[in-house]
Order: sequence, then C-alpha cells, then structure tokens
Amino acid sequence: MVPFNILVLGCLIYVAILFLVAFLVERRAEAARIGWLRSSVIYTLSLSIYCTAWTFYGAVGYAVRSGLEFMTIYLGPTLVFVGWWWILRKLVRIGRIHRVTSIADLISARYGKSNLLGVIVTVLAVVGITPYIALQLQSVTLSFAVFAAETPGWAQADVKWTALWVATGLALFTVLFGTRNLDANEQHHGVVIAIAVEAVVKLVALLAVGVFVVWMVADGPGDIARKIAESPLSEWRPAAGRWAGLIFLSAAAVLTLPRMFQVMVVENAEERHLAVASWAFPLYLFLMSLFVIPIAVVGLEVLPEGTNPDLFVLSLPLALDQGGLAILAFLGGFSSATSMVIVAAIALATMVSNHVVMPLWLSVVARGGKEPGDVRQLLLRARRLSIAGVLALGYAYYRITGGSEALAAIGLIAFLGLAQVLPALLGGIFWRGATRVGAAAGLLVGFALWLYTLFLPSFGPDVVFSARLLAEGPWGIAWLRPWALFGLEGMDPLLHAMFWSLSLNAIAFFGTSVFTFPSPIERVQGAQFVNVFELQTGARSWRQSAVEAEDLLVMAQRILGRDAAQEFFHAEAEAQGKAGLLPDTTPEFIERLERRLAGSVGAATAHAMVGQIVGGAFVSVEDLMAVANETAQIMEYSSQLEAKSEELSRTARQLREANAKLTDLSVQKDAFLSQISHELRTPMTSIRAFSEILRDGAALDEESRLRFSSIIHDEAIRLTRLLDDLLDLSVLEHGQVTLELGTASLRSLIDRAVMSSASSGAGRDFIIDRDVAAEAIMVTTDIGRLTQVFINIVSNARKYCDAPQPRLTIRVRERRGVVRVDFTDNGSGIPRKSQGLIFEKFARLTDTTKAGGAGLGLAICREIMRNLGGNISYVPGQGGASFRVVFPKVPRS
Amino acid sequence: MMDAARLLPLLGFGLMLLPLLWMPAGGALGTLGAKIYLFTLWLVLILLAVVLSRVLPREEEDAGDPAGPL
Repeated sequence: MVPFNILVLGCLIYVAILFLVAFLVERRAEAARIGWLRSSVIYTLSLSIYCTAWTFYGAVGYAVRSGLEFMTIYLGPTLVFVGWWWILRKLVRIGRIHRVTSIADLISARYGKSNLLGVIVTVLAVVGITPYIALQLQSVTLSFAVFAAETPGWAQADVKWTALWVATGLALFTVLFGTRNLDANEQHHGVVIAIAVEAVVKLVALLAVGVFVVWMVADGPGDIARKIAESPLSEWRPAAGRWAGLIFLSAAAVLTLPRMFQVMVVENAEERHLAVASWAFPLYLFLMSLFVIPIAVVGLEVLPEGTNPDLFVLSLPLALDQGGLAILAFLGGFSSATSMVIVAAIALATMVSNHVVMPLWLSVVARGGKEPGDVRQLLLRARRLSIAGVLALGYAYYRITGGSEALAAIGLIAFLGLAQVLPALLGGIFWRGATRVGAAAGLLVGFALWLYTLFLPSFGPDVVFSARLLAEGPWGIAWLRPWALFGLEGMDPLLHAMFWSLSLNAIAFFGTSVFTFPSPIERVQGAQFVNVFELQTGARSWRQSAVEAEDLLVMAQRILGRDAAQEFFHAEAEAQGKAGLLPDTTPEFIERLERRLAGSVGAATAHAMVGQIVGGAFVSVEDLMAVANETAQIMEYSSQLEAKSEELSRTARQLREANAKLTDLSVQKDAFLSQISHELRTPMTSIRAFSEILRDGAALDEESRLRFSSIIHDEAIRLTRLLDDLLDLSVLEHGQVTLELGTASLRSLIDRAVMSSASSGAGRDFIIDRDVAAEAIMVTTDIGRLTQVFINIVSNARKYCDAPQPRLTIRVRERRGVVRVDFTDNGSGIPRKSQGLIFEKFARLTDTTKAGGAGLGLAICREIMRNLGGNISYVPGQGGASFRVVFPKVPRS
Repeated sequence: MMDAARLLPLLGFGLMLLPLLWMPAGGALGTLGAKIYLFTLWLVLILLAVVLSRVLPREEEDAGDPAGPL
C-alpha cells in the first residue's frame, strides 16, 4: 500500500528534478556547450510526446475494448517515419531554410505569407487541441484518485483540485522554459531535454509493468500465450474500414499535430538526426506497445470486475501490492501527460502570438501612425499570456465536461481535426499549382465538416446539438444528419466524418487551386517549397532599394534583441566584405533578414514588417522566369554565374570601400599636415613672442615677468603633451608597448574614469546611468591603459553630447570570458558618413577650438584595445553615439 | 535505393492490411497469431529502415553536387 502523501511527495520531487534539468540545460545552452544535448538520441526521445497519457494508460483500455486495433495508433507513425525520405525530410529541410515556427506558419509561408491561412490553422489547432489538453489533466486526476481511494483521510474532493494544481504547475514550467528566447529559430533546449527525460521515464515505467506482468504474475511468454488464448481477447474481429482508416489517420496526425511539428521540425537541430529517428522512433513505439496485450489480459484475469481498464497499468501493481512499481507507473503516466501539455502549449502559444496577436497589434499601430516600440517584449508577453490562456482553456474544458464519455474519445477526434491540414500541407510541398484560395477553401470545408459531423455531436445529445437534430437532421432534412451525411448511413461515426471531411476538403483544395491564379509571391514561395532540395538560393522578393541598413537594424533589434540583431548584421557585413555593423541593403541581405525575423515572429508578420521599411515587395520578371524554368543545366549554369558575380561584386565592394578610405585618408593627411603645423605653431609663436619680451624688456615688473614665464611654461607643456600623444600612438601602433598586467574590478575602473573626466564639459548637468551590479567583474589586463580608454570615451560624451539633458548609459556584459562595455549617450550621434573615420588619426568632426585636442584620442584608444587583445567600435542605431569596448577578461596567451 | 525508400511505407501499409484478407467472412482472427504477425512485420520494417538510414545519406553525398539530385 502506498500512502498518498508519499505519492504526492514523489511527484513533487520528480517535478523539481525536471525543473532542475531544464534549468541546467538552459545554462549550458547559454554558454553554447550543448553538443551532446542535441544528439539524435535526444531528438528521437523528444518525438515520444506522440505517446500521451491517452496512449500510456488508454492503450490497455483500448485493447480490452477492441483487441489489436490499438496498434493502428502506432503503426501509422511507423509508416511515416520509415518513409522519412519522402515527406519528413522535405518538411525538415523547408523548416530549417525558411525558419518555420509552427505548422500554421508553414502553411502561411507556403501560400504567399498569407496571414489568413495562419489564422485558420491556429483556430483549428486551438479548437482541436484544447480538449486534448483537458484529457491529459483528466488522466492525471484519475490516476491520483486511484491512489487516494486507498488512503483514508483524502477525500475525492481534494483530488478534484489536482487538475488545477497540475495546470498551474505546467503553465509555470512552460512559461519559464518555453518563452526564454524568441530567437535561435524558436528552439527550447531546456524543454527538449526535460521531455526526453520524461520519454525515458514513461518507457521504463511501461516496460517495468510489462516485465512484471509477464515474468512475475505469469510464468513467462508461454504462459501469457496460454492466457491470451483463454481470455475474452482471444478472438479479434477487425473492422476493415477502421483498421485501414485509423492507420491512415494516425499517419496524418503525426505530420499535422502542432506538438509533433514543434519537436519534429522546429526543434530539429540537425537533419541527420532524422535518419536515426526514422528507425529509432518506430522502435520506441514498438516497445511502448509490446506489453499492452499481456497487461490487458492479466488485468482482466486478476482485477475485480468493473475496474476501469484504462487504468490497468496503475491498478494492477497496486492490487498486487507492488507499491514502488505503482509509483513508477504513476510517474510514467504523469510524464506522458505533462510532456504533451508543455509542448502543445508552446506550439499553440507560438501560433496564437505570431498569427493573431502580432498582426492585430501591427494593424493597430499602423492605424495610430505610431512607431512600433519594443516588439520583443510584447511578443514574449503575448506568448506567456497565450500559454496561460491555452492551459486555462484546457482546464475550463476539463471542469465543464470532466469525466464524461466525450473526453475519452477526444484523442481520435483531435487527430481528425488536425488532419484537415494534410491536403494543404502535402499539396503545398509537392504541388506547385496549389494556391492560397484553394488552401483556404479546403481548410474551411474540412474544418466545418469536422465540427458538424464529429466534434460537436461528440458532446452527446442535447449538449450542443439537440437529440432531435442528431436523429432527424436540421429542420427534419434527413440527408443533413450529422452522423449520416448525404444519406451515408450505418457507418462508424469516426470513419463517416473522416470520409466526408477529408475527401471534400481535398476536392475543395484541388478544385479551387486549379481554377485560381497564384500571385507572384505565392509562385516564388511555391517553387521554393516544392523544389527545396534543388533551389537553394532561389528567387527573391525584394528589389534593390535605397533603404538605410541602420533603419533595418533598428527594427531587427526590436524583434531579435540587441545582441542577436547586431551579431547577425555584423556577420552579414563581413560576408559582404565590409567592416562594421551595416551591410549593403542588397535584396539577398533583406531576404535573409526577413527569414531570420520569420524565425521569431512567423513569415507573414516578418514580411509585413520588412515591407513597411523597404516599401513593398517586388518580384521581377527574371525571378519568375527562374521559377518557371528549372532544367538542371540552367539552374547549374545560373548558380555558377551567380556565385561568380557574387564573388565579383564582393571584391568590387571591398575595392570601393578601400578606395574611399584611401581618398579620405589622403585628404586627412593633408589636413593633418596643416593641422599639426598649426598646432605646433600656435604655442611656438607665443613662446617666441613672450620670451622676446622677457629678453628685451628689462623694465618689466615682477608680476608681469611671472605671468609671461608661466604662459611660456603652459605652452611648452601643451607642446610636450602633443608630442607625447604622437609618440604614444606610434609605440602602440608598432606593438612595442609592454603591458603592465594587473587585476581590478571593472567597477573601480569605471568609477575612476567617471571621476577623472568630470572636469571636461564641466558646469553641465550630466547624468550617468550605470548598472553597478553587473560591473562587479574582476578583470586582468593593463588597468592604466584600459582606464585611459574609458576616460577618453566618457569625456568625449561630456564634450559632444548635444542633448538638452545629456545622459550617458554604461552597460557591462560578460559572455564566454569576453567583457563588453557599451557607452551610449542620448545626443544626435555620429553621422553615417563619419562613422568609418572617427578612429583614424587626427579625425575630428567638429571644429578644433571646441575639441581642444589634436584628434588623437580615439586613435590611441583603438590601438590600446588592439594591444589588449580586444577592440573598440562604434555601434550605429542606438539613438545616440554609442561606443563598444570589448576585451578578454583574462589575457589570452 | 531512393525508390526503395519511397516504396517501403507503401509496402508496409499493404502488409499491415494483409490480416484482413485472411479473415473468414464474418469470422475472427486469433489475437495471438495476428499479434505475432504484426509485431514481426513491425520489426522487419524497423530493420529495413536502419539499412535505409545508413545507405541513403551516403548515396546523396555520392550524387556529388551540393544541390542534390534532380
């Protein structure tokens, strides 16, 4: 006998372990040390969320009721995975190239980035999956009740609250680990590992119960065979239609269920993992179903009549006094339910936030004529609320229909609901002629028929549909009866609904597609999806435009976050052979940016947002011809040409840039010569003049002599400082400097810099915004030199920041041993054309008088940072001048 | 080999339907026999998939160009 308290305790410990695992993995993922964590084994295990509590507990009940028919649920996915080369490989490739975030996103992206389709699929998924989530909550509650029933002191009323606790806990877990990041193609490492752990637990639990039943209760396989022959299950009368239909249905569902799509396509780390999963996942299913019949047969023999066969897995070990095994079985069922709910909630929340919340919000913003603010925060909040909403909906559904027959049957009903996506999905990836209107028509027809013939009647008579409507049809029209549509009587309701909804869905889809004409962007997308293995570069939908990369950077930062956006822009600029953060806005770059954004907000929204800035999509005639005309040679030839011209344009770009820099430098050099002569002459002139006065004017009083000689002294000091700077720079440039390494906290360095620079630009109210907690980093470097750099930047900000209320923000960040300090002020920043020059010697943007230096400061800073093994750079698009100093925490040998 | 990969799920589906043909009209099948048949079929499919998962990626690489076979 297992005390209920111990069970609850065990359950809590298990949950705590899952939180811990997810937390540790996220920590590792941040440090980019996740190698083995994204292996093909983990991928296969994460796929096991296909096996929910409905299959963990329900398979045995299903076997008791209909013999071997339970196997159809596993055989369908087996066929799909064994045939991975055909469909799955293509889906995964498309998902990776187009950075698909959900199945709704895939459909929307394929049909011209249409948000309408995204919304339809999202609604379909929410309607179909919410009851499925309710079913999981019910199964956890029921399994708790089995234990509670045997422990006095725990009323069944307490158990009723289990569902609420479970739903709350799951919402918490999912929000914590499912909405940590928007970027990185929507991958959730912590969640994936946690569900992989749960996959192991449920497999081990079911195998343990199976082994116990076969070798402990019975005397091995021979005895089990005898028991099967003697049991009520000895004969199996398969209904031909259901057997074939259910295999097909479960095969369709494994492709279209949002949670399966999430782990199979979105969370896929490497394509080759799919090859392993193609046999390993069917093997997992094989093991999951191996002991179902023995457990069913022994359960029927051992347990008292009237025991719920859906809970044999749990009640069998309990009845035979195997407390530990019962707890294991309980945790297996608990794992099945929770992992399904977590992934389903993430998948649904992604769909809702990307296809409903974002477009709504964008249109509100567009109408108000406002600039979009921080999209990232909004999106994360929307996603968190959606997760809570989905779980609340599931819980409400459970409370309203809880325990009814309707809920138990919901598994297959949900399968059929989501299977309505299949024609649009397969048509989309195999048939170029499929159009947006066709897809919408098919989806709507299928959705409506599914609601009418299966989902709504499943609540039973007089709940949604009156008994009369069910029996006689609406207004007495017999051929509209939900269970006998168009006079097709005597069929199994599920098969009947499957036949009508899927066939009319497919007919509407193909028929409408044939008679409608795809828009240019649909054609381009269609060709890219259907020929995903051949067309790697593909046509583009943006024209070369005059848009400033800085504007795009500002938008990308709002969605991806500063770091990720800057990293992406930097990599793109580097690929174009440019330095800095701003690449040329070529159509290819804009296309890649759009895809990157699509990985966070979905294709339709990303397209709309880029379009707002770039000013309208455009598909050229050549692009369409490239799509229409794709014999192997032409593709081969054009891709070679493209590679060559790409190479040429990159070289040209580099040359242009080098040339521009050289011209600027030569102008600067001339300017410098006159500058330096001026700088040297001014003090020289006054030194000469005053020394002449001192020499000739014997009649000078003591006070004047003192004044004149101190002027001479000051001017001499100014000269020395200028020459010192020049010398310093030349030493740094030639790398002859010896660093004096020391260790100090970054906070003290910044303190010193802020204090030392207080004299420049004095008299102005200057706010310095620091994050002192983040500055508590010990660094080993040349402290004096680094402080010199900081002082230079801070006093520059004090001098040049032209805001009425100047403010300098200092932010420190450490990542993988590299420290990054950002200094951002709120002035008007540095104009684009000057950004490349500020680190050059004698560069000065304003007139000399204001600066009071020779324009060597930033050049010296750059050389110092180079010597310290780091760098200093200007970060555009931060709403003011922004300098970034990067250096290793500990010098690299 | 790629055609074999496409054929395998169809073949599997056909073989899964086979028990329906054995069934005498209106009669029933022995659960044990059907179970042994189905699970054996299942294992064979898994083994074939193991072979395919080894062979196919290599074959694609051999096909040469990064664009893949047309």
